[in-house]
Amino acid sequence: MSCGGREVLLAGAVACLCASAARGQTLKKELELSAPVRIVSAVTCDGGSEIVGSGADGAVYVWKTPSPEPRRIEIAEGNASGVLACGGGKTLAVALKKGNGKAVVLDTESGAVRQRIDAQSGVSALAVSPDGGFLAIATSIYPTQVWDLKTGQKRWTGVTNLGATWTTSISANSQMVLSADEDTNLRMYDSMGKQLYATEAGLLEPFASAFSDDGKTFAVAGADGAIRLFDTSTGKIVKTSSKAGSPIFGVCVSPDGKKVAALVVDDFKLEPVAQTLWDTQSGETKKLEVDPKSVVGAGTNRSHLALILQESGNKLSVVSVE
Amino acid sequence: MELRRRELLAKAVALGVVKLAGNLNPTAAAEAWFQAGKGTRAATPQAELGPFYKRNAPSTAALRGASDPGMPLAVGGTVYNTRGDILSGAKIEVWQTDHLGHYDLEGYRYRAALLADAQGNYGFSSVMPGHYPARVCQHIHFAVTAPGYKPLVTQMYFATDPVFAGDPDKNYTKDPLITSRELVRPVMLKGDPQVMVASTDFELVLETL
Repeated sequence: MSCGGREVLLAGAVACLCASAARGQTLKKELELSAPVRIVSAVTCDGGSEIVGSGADGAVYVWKTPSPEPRRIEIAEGNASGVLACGGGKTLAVALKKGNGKAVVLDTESGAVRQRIDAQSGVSALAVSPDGGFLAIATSIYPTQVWDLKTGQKRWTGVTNLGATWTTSISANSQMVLSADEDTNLRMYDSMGKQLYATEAGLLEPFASAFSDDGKTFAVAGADGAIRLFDTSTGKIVKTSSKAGSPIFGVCVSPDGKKVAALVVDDFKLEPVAQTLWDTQSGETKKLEVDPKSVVGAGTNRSHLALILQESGNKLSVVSVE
Repeated sequence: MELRRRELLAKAVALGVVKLAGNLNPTAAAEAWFQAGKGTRAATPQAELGPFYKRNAPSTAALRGASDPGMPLAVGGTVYNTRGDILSGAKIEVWQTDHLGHYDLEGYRYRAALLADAQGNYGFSSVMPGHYPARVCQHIHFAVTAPGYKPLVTQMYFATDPVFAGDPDKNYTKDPLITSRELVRPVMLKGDPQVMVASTDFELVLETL
């Protein structure tokens, strides 16, 4: 399972969770977590064994599930932005709010800083390889950058015809890096930077991407509101969802690769307006009965897709989508 | 002006006011002087591409339809390189919101791909873009490409934008995405009160690869 997308400025609204059996989809509250501050964004790590969130106070919070109490990690280098990603070996990458391209790589176990990265342009998305070996960074000016987490050195920088990169994803075997670029192309690289192919995402911008667990497919969505499922080996489109009517800023593929969750955002105000689930087998897309403004992250909880919701009273809920 | 400078050099050489080294002839020296004196230009500042770029925009200079609401707008300029040479044939892609701040994601309203003419000039008619809620200022996106040059991705702003409160020098930083004061262009009102057009120029300067 993997998720990815461009940071969206969530409205910060706190809403109740409507866990229910909705149009054939069951939202089941799996965990309730204590959040000392409002959580701006969150991700699941290691199949849901950890939840990591970026707090409104600039600190990082790590929940070792099922314990509801988090550990607070303050980053000496600066406040955390809402852009974060975790990977293998208890590795967490966090972009700094005022760093203009600065990010730190932390050990979620100890909280120690492993690497300090300077991508020299505002970070819009991060991806840590599942083997913990490298970090892919999408920035607002440069094409995708890949940094070696053992040496702290930049391994390679991708290319675009125009502009920079919206988001980036890494396959579960840590062998492939997908770059969703502003020139509306998708470029697939191997982990050493060799471009394997480039393919068109559509006529509009691709904001979100994610690989399936087995790496055979990847999902991409963006400004046109459709999710496209690609064959990883060829770069060809396998299936396309119906259009959501608004841009999609985040996608998440279920562990079995059959469903894709998407965060739909109003193209005028850039506020979340729906959380949807596309069944790639039936082709049906359903709107999940959650307040989209309460969704601060998505990921996996064991074998299910999971949403992380900010609830009232500074609580987080982890809800599985079955 | 340039011819006068060349003539002046030739005259100065003839009079002995300027002496040429043995490997220079007067014509080559005049041309070198002329080129060195030509206005070099700073590259146009880059800016973010923005979320709603769309490929394959139509080749039209008329972005505004006859019955489109909003203040008619005329934008024009010349494309140069940093040496001051004009770049004819440069491709200029532009896109903007309508007068209410909406981007067209379904079609190509207020989107176009233009080519700089033999004099490096480009121009298009449109409407003054509205305020898009996720951005502070009215703006038009530009993506300019030419073989051998670094693609230029930038945005143009209007000095008349109410956000600047009449003083763009002081207030242009109110929009954190405005990377340079130079991108805020003066606006001239043309025509008569019945058919008023806001006109602005935007010079585009590309860097070599």
